[in-house]
Amino acid sequence: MNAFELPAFLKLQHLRPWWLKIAVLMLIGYPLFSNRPAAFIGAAMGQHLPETLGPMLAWPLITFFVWACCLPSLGTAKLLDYLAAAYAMAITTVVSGAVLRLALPAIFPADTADNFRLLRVYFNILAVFPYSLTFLNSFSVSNLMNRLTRTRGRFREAGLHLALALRICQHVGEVIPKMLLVWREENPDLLLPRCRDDWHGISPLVKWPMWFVRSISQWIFACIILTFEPIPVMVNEIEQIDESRDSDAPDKV
Amino acid sequence: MNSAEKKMTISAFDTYEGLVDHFVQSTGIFFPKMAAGRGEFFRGFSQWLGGLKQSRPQAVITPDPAQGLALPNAMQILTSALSQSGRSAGETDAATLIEKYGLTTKMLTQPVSTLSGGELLLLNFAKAEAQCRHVSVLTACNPIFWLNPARHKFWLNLCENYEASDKKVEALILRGDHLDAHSHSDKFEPVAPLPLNLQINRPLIDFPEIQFPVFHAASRLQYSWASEPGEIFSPFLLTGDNGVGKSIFARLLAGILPVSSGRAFIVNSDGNSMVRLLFQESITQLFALAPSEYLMRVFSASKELFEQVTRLFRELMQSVCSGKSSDDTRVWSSLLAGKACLIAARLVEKPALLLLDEPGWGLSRHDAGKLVFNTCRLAHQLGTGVGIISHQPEWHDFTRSNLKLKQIEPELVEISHERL
Repeated sequence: MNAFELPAFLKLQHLRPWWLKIAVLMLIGYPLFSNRPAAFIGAAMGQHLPETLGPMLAWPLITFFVWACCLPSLGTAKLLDYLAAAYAMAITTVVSGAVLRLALPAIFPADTADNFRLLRVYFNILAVFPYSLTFLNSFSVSNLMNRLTRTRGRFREAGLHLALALRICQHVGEVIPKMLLVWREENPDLLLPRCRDDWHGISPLVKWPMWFVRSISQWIFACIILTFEPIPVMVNEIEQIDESRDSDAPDKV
Repeated sequence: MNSAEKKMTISAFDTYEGLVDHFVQSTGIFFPKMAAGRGEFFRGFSQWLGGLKQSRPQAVITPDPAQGLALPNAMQILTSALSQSGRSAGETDAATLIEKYGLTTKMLTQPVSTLSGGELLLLNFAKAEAQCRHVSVLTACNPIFWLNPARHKFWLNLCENYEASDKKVEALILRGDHLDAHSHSDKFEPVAPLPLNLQINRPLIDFPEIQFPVFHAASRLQYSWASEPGEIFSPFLLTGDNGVGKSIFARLLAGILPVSSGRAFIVNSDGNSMVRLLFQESITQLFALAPSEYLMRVFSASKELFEQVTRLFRELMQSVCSGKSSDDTRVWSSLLAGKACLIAARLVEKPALLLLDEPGWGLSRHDAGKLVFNTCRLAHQLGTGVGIISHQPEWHDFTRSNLKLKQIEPELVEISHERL
C-alpha cells in the first residue's frame, strides 16, 4: 500500500490532450535517448567535483529524475515492483559483461571507457525499464478504440493498428505476473529447481547454470507465446470496430 | 429447456481439440491448443497470419474465457464493446451492464487477470450483450461450465436477448456438459477415504491498491471456520459461489500467496504438509511446452523421479483412454495429456494434498470423471489426499468431505465442513 498520496495532476495517465501527454513523456525520456543532457550535467558538475566524478554522477541523477517523474503515476508499490525487475536485469547484464571481459580479454578488451560504458548501461536499464512501462500504460487502448469508432478517414486504419500494437505491448506486463505465480508453484525457491535429487557435491556448480539458462529460454518462449495468444481475438475486435463505420462519423480523426 | 435454449444451436464434442478446431473453423479466429507445444503454436499462428481475412460481425466466448477479454479491465471492455454498436458509452452504461450479469460495480476497475473463472464468463456475457446490436451471431464455448448452477440463468438471459434481436447463438460444448441433452453420468467405485488434518487460523490476505494504469482500491480476504476445525477426508470437494475465493484459498494452502496474518495448512498422517496445486487455467502450467517436453524439463535434475513420473503419466493416460486408441500421437499432445502430465508431476513428489481446481475444464464429462477417479486412486496409494475445487454437482457422488465457502461479511469467508 502507498504510504503517501501524490497530487493527481502529477499523474501522467491523466494528462490531456493525448499529444501533450506524448510531449511530456518524450521530454522525460529525452536524457535516455540522447547524450546531451548527461554531458551537460557532467560538465556542470565537473566544475565543482573531481574530473571523473562529475560525469559519473550524471547518470544516477538522470535515473533518479526519471524515477521521480514516474512515481506519481505508478505509486510506490508498483515502482518498487518495476525497480526489482530492472535491478535484476541490470545486474545480470553488467555482471555478465564484466565476466566476459575477464574471461575473454582478447574479444572484450577492458579499459576505463568500457567501465564507464558499463556503468552507463547499468543506470540506463534502471531508468528505461520503469519509464517504458509507464509510457506504454499511460495510454488507454479503449479510449483510442472508442474515438476511432466515431471517426473515419485515412488515419482510422493506422489508428486501429496502433491500438493493437499498444495493447500487445501492455499485455506483456499482464502475462509476467501470471507466469510468476505458475513458476512459484513449480519452483518455490524461484532460482532453484524443485526436483534436484541428482545434484550432489560440486555438480550444482555446472548444473545450476545449465538449468538457469534453460529456464531463461523457457520464460522467453512462454512470454512470447502467451503474449501472442490473445492477438487473434484482439484483431477480431479491431475488425468489428473497422466494420462499425458510423455514417454520422466525421471524416477526420 | 426454455425457448431461448431451444433455438440456439448446440454442438457437443468429445475432446477439447475437436471443440477448438470447430471454433476456429466457424469463427476464423485462431485459437491455440497449448498442450501441442511451441512448434504447433507458431505454425498455427503463422498460418492464421498468412490467411488473415475479414471475419463476419460476431461475438465470441472463446474456449478459455479469459482470452476473449482483450482489454485490461471490465470498464474498458464494456465501453469498447458498447461503442462498437454505435452507442456512446460511459461508466454508468458499463455499470448497468455488469450488474445485470450478477457482478458488482467494484469489478469494473479490477484487472481481468485477477477475476475468477465464473466472473470471467459473466463478464463475457455482459460484453456479448453489449455487442448484440452490431453482431449477427454469438459463438460461445462451454458457456456455463465455470458457473455456479444458481447463475446459469444469466446465460439464458443472454440467449433471450439474442433471440429477441433475431440473432443466432451457437454453443460449443464438451460431451456431458449440462447443456448436452444426451448427457449421462458415469458411476465410479468410491475410493477409500484418506484422513487429513486441516487447520485454519483466520488467514488474512491483503490485496494492495492498484494505482496504475487504472485505480483499483485495496481489498482483503479472511477465512474462518464455521465450526471447530478437525479431520477432513480425501477426496474432498471445495465449493462455493463464483468469486467467493475458492481459488485464492487453494493458492493460500499451496503457499504461493503470502498471508498478512494467521495461517492455513493441511497435514496428512505422515506429518507431511506439502500441497501441490493444479490451477484452474492449468494449461499455463505447462509453460508453453508439450507434456513430454514439460516432464523432461521439470525432472531434468532427477533421473529417478523422471522415470517414476513417466510411468505414472502413462498409467494415468492408459486408465483414462481405456477403450480408445492411446497410440494416437494426438492424444499425447492433447489437453487431457497436459492435465495428466501435470497431475503425475505433482503426485510423484508424494505431497500431503493435491488440489485440482476445476479439473473437468476442457474435458468431456467421461474423461474428467475417469481422470479424477484414477488420480484419487493413485494419490491414495501414495498417501496423498486430493481436493477438488468445482461447481460441478457430479463430484458430490464421489467425494468424502465437502468444504463449503460462504461469504458472510464483505471481507470474511466462512468455511463449513460436511462429511459425505
